[in-house]
Amino acid sequence: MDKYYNPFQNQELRFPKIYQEQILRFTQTKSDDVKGSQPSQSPFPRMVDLWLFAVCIGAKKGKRTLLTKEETYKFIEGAIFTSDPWRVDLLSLLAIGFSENPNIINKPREIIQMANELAVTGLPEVFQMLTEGYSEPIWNLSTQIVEMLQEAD
Amino acid sequence: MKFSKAFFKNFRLLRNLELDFSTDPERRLTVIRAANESGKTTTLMAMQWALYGDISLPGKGKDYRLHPIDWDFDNNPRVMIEVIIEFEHVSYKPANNGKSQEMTKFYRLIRSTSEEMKGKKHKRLPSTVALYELNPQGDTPIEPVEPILHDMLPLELREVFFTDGDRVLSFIQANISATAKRQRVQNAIKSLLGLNVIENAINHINVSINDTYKKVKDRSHSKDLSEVSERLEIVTNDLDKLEPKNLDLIDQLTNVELQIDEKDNEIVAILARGDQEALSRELIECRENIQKLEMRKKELEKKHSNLFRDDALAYNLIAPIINKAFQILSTLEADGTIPSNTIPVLEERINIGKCFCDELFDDSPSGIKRREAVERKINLQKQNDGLLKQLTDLFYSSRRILTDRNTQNWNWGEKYKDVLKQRNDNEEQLQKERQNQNAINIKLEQLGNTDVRAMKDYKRNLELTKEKIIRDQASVYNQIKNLKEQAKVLEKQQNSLLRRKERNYLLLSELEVSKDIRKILQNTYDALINNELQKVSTTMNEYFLKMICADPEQGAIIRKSEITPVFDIKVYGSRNRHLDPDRDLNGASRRALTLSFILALTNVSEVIAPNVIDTPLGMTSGHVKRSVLETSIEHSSQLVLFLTRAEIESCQDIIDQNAGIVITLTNTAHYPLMLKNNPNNSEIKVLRCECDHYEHCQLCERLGFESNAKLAYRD
Repeated sequence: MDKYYNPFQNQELRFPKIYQEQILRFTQTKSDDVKGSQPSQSPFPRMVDLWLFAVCIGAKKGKRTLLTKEETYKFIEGAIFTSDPWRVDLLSLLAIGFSENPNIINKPREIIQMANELAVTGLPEVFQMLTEGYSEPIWNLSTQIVEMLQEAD
Repeated sequence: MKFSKAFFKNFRLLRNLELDFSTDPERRLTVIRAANESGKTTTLMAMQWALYGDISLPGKGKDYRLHPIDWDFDNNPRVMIEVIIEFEHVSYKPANNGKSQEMTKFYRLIRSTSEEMKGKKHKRLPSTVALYELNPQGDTPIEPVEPILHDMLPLELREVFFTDGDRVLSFIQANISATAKRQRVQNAIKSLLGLNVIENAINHINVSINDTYKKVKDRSHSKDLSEVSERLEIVTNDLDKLEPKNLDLIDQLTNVELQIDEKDNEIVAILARGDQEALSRELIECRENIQKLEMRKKELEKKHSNLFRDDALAYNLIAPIINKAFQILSTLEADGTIPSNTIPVLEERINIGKCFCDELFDDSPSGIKRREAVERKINLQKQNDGLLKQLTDLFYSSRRILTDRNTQNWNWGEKYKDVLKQRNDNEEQLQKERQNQNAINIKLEQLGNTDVRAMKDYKRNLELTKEKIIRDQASVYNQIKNLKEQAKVLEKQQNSLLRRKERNYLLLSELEVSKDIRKILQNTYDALINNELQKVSTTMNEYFLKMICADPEQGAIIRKSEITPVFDIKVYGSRNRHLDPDRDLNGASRRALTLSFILALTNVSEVIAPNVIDTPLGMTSGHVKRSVLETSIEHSSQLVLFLTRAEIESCQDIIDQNAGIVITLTNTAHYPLMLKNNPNNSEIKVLRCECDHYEHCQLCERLGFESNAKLAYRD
């Protein structure tokens, strides 16, 4: 794909409202008066990083969770992907592989809808990975990822 | 004399301290356990001050502070300083049967003074001293105090009975001049004999001889005789002035050399702890390193955090799904759907007017039908072009990704391991630098305000003073030598002139008799000294060989020790080879040699007095240490030892058998660096606890002492 081509430019990336506090807790980009902005406590640099990670975890589980618009909130638009074009490719491939339909890449709205639903599925497990263990979230998460990747191998 | 108690009030670290001493003849040893800088030297000094006054202080007390260093002069402008010693003294009186009867009397000695601050300097009043005989009926004041005390414990023997274990090494140390060493040994031996009676007699005779010279001069009718007598009188007067001056200069030389030695040891000890300038530089460097490592820590934390937005992580997590997508795209590629080249080829065919199958796209009904079909296909392709382009691009980019998948860059696990290692290494370095910083801060605290440069300057000044004294003493000695030679010549001339006149025979006889008496006294004096010197030498050798025989190495090398007729302490190996104490003797042997000398003096003097020794067992260990301790106990009437824990190690059984009293002293200022528990005392002072050599308690428990585990906890 053309590295400047972003089909998801105007699409909304959304999170469930019930997880808003935890999302703020584990991401670094927020106001200073909110606790846990150190990487050790908030491992994800930006919300979109947490979102994509949750998408991948949801995709691993192979399940989409549908929520109503009222149950979710938009945290950013797809224009964010312009700075990381590999994410455009990743989401496109994920959509093709998950739906087994190559034509889906002509439907960016459907791809983002799918991704949002996969994120909803993945988020509870992501929070568990962050808090399970006796270390700080960054170390808990790292350990869990290493185990997960080793199992996959 | 035997000490029974001592009380100290506001004498430097000894703010309010009471000590007991064992007077049991079967258990002659008192052990006062104290770490370095816990008041050992101060206690020694305080007891000597009580007995002898300011003359026993460093620099004879001039500018020497006695009050506690942290005394609050704002609220208490005057500090009362007092030392009380209670002791028993045995004397003898004739019994009815003609023999001697022993009498033990009990005394209390009180010396006190006060100090005030005048500006930045302190001013001390002359001390007052009182002596009381203790009786059940009440205390009787005894006068005159100082002569009575000095009879019991002569001033000249002060350093024999109050011994600083390190300082006493100056009897044999190489860096003290030979003259000074000999003089010290000679003075020590002279003092124990109480030869001042004979010295005084010799001085009286010299005065009498000078008077006779004067008479000769005054009564002489001969001009020559008068002149000679006058010159002789001037020469003898000059000699009378110069000889004490010479002795005084030798004394000064000894003191300066000892001060230089002490200052040297202080500087070495402080430099061992650390040079303040160098430490401050080290601290700055350390802080800079810590800053850099903290910044690196933040960078690495960020790097770690960025791993969670790494493309390798995402692709690895959903690899099966990505593979499936790639398979779908590969299928499209395989069946030619992608990449899309159909439109240009078909358009070209229409332009040519002929299909691949050679059928024509002419105007015939079949030709038109064929052309329309192809044009429909072209239009359909045009509609799908956007999608196919995306699929084509996605196919090619995912093919690249999957090719790269086996490279290191795609192994998230390896990337994480690398970051983990960097973070751990950085943290380890940071911990090391922080520990280093703490250690430097502790060293700087221990140095306090010690200015090593100032100490070195002070030492340099002492060395200049020493050089001047040596020059002055050499000059005085030369003058004495010249004057003596002149006196000899003049005496000969005078005698010769006197003999010419009969009326001078009386004066001549007077002179002859005086000189003969002087010669007898001097010979007696010299014989006594040499006699006693021999006794001290023999006794010293006996004790020394006993102490070191336990050391097979030194025992094999050393055969004999002695004090030579010129008052040098010498040691010999096999075949009478002279051994250098500084080079050929180890630390333990040097210590044993000097203690043997002290104990030999004590015994030969037959003065019954306590030996109070500060760190006698430093640098000794093993069998020699035990031997030194046992020999010292055996040959002392009352032995008070200030011992560090290291000195007590491996001698506990000897202490068990011989000590009547064991106590511990602790300096409150040692918390928190050396003491485990806070003594909860705002004043810097020495406190006593009843812990013996097997115990420690809340007060005296020390940090970092290996044998702590062996000590029982006393509540």
